[in-house]
Amino acid sequence: MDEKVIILTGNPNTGKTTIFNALTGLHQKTGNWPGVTVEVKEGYFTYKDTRFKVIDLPGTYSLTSFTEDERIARNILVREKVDAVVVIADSSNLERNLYLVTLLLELEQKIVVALNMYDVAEEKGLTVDVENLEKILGIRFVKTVGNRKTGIDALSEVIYEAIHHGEKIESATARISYGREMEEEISSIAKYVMQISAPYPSRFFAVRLIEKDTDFIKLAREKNVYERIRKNLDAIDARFPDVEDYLIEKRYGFIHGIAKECISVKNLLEDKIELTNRLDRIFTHSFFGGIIFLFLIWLTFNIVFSWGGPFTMLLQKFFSFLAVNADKILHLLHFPEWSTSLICDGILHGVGSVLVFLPNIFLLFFIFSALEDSGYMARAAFVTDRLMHKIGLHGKSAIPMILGFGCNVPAIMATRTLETKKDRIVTILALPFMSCSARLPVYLLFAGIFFRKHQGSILFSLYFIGLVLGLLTARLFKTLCFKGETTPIIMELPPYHAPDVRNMLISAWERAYLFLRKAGTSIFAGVVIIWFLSYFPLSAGYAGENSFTGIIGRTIAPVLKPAGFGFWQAGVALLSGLVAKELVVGTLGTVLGGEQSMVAALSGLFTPVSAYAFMLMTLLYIPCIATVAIIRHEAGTRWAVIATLWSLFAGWLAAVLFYQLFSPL
Amino acid sequence: MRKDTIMIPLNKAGTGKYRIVNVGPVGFGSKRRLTTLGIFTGDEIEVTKPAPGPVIFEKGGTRIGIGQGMAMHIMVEKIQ
Repeated sequence: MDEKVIILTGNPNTGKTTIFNALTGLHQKTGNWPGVTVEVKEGYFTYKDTRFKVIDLPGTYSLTSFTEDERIARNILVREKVDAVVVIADSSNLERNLYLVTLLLELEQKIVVALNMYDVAEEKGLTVDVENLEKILGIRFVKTVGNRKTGIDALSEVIYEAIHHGEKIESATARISYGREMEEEISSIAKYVMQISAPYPSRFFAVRLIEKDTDFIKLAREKNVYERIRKNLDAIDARFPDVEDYLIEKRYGFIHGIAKECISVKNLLEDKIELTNRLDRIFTHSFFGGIIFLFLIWLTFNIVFSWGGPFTMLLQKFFSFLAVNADKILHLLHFPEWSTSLICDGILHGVGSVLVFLPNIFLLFFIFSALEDSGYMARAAFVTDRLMHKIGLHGKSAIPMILGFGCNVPAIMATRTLETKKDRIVTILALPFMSCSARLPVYLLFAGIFFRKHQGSILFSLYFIGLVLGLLTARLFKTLCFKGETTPIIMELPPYHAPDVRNMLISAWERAYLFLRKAGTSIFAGVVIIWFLSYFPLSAGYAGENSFTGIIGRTIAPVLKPAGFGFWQAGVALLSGLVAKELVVGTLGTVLGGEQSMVAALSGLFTPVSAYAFMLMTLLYIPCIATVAIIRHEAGTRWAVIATLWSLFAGWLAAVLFYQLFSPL
Repeated sequence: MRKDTIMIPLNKAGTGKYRIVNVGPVGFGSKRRLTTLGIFTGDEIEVTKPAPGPVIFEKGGTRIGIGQGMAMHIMVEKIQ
C-alpha cells in the first residue's frame, strides 16, 4: 500500500490533539526522534488506497528559533520527507492562526488547513468564505469540529486529494510581500544562500537571516556565506530599525487583508464572552485565584484517593489470591523451590504491590487532562506567576511544575517553553521535588496504615512540602548562580469549554500504559534483582537479615537511624527506589512477604512519626534514574550531579529534622 | 487630536477599550512574543480583567494574559 507522511501542526489550544485522536484512534505512539526529547506523537490511518503516517508536532505560533518547540517543529517539517502539512486552526481566531500558515507557505509545502471548532466560530457569528480563501492562498481549507468528529472524513479526503492531485501553491492569487525595498533585499540575500539553504527554500532562509534567527546565522557562518551577506544585513538594519517587528507586522497586514475579504462577522455571542470574563476574574483573582488553585489540587488528590481506593483493594485481593494459588499449584507440579519463590515472593508480590496503584494513576491523569482541556491550566500559570516571580521562577515554570506531579521526566522536557537558559535550569532544579505519581504508592501505603482517618490531608501535606522545598531550591540557586531578572509572562488564554471525555480517557490511558510498561520492564527487572539478593545466600532464609539485601540494608541503616527508620528493610527499599520510586513499595512487599504480611510488619516497624519521616525521605531524596538522565540531557552533567546530591541531602535532612522534632522522647 | 486622552500603564487600566500607545523596555523576547501573537503598537484592545494580578485583554477574539510586571511597561490610552 502507498504510504504518505503528513504533519499536524498549529497554534496551541486549537484542538490539534482532538483531531489527531479522531484521525488515528488508538493507533498512535510517542515517536522517537533523534535529538528531540519533546513528545512528538506518531499515528496511522488508512484512507482509500493510502496509508497515512501522521506526525503530531507540539503547538507553535511561529517557526523561528525563539523557543525549543518552534525549533523542533521547524526541523521536523524539513527533515522528514513530508507529503503534506495539515494546519489545525481555531476558526474563531483565524487571523492569528493564519500567521503560522504564512510562514509555512514560505517553506513551499503542500498545505491543508482544518478550520477547527467551526461550530464555536459560528456561534460567535463568524462566517468563513472557504472558496475565496482557497483561491487567494492556493491551499485547501476544510471545516471541522474535532470533538464531534464532524468533518474528519472530509479532511481525510482533502488530504488525499492534495497529495495525489494537488494543485501547486503557484495558483494563489495573492502572495505575501514585505514591501518593494525589503523584497529586493530578500532576493539578493536569497541568491547568496541559494547553494547552501537546502533543505530550506532560499527565500525562507534569507528571511530568517534578516530576522536575526540565531540558528540560521550559525548555519550561514558554518557554510562561509555569512561574511559575504553581512553588509546587506547591516544595511537592512540601518533602514529598518525594528526589522523583526517590521516583518511580523507585514505578515499580519497580509492576513488582515485576506480576512477582510473572507471572514464576515455578524454579532458576537456576548453572553458567552461575558461568562469567560467573569470566570477569568474569579480564577485569576489576586487573592481567590490562589485559594481556588490550592483547593482544586487538593480536591484532585482526594478524588484520586477516595475513588481509586475500592479498585486498589480489589486488585490487592486479586494479587494475593494469585500468589497463594500459584504457590499451591507450583508445589503440586513439583517446580523447584527457587522458581516457586521467584514467581510468588519475587514477581507476584513485588510487581503486584506496585500494580495495585494503577487505578490511582489513571484517575490522576483523567482529572489533570480535564483541568487542561477546560482551559483552567493556562489560568493557573498566571495565578502562580506572582509567587514564582518573587522566588525567581517564571510563571511558565508553573506548568512544568504541575506536570511534575505526574512525572518529572516529561515535566523537565516541558521546560523547553521557557525562553532563557537560566530560567530553565532554575526550574529544572526545582522540579524533582514535585511529587510525581511514582511516589504516590508509597504515600498511599503508609498513609493507609498510619493515618487512616486523614489520608487526603497527609497526601496534600506531602505534595505541599515538596512544592515549598522546590521553590526554596529555586530561590537558593537563583541567588547563588543566576542573578538578574526573570522574563515576564505572556500567554494566550483559551476560552473555557467542557472537557472532552474521550480525550480525557485517551490521556489517562496513555499514562496508565506508560506505568504498565514500566511495571513490565524496569520495575520487573528491579524486583527480580531484589528477589535474587534476598534469596541468596540460601542459609540466610528468604529476605532474612543475613541475605544480601539484609547486608546492604544494614550498611545503610545507621545513616537512616536519626530519621527513625534505621532498619535494614527501609535501607533496601530506598536504595531500590532509585530505579523507580514505585519500587520502594515493591521492595517492601518482597522483603516483608507480600501485601498482607507487609501491612502488619510495617505497623510493627514504624511509628506514625517515623512513617511520615520515611514518606518525606521518599518524596525528596534523589529523583529516579530516568529523571537524573533527563536532567543530564537537558542541562548537562554538572547540573545533574548537583541536583542529585542536593536532593539526597535535602531528603535526609528533612526526614531527620521531622523525626527529631516530633518523636516523643 | 489626542489632547483629551491620558496615557496610563496597562496595569492601572480598568476594564474597557484602550489603544496601545507604546511598549516600553520589557526585555528582549517579550515584545517579540506580543507581536507574534498579533499585538502591535496602535492596536485596539479590550481589558477584560484588570490588575491586581495578571491583566487579561482581548483583541479580535484572542484573549491574552500578561503578568503585572510587564503590564506596567505597556502604555495605553482610553478609547471613549
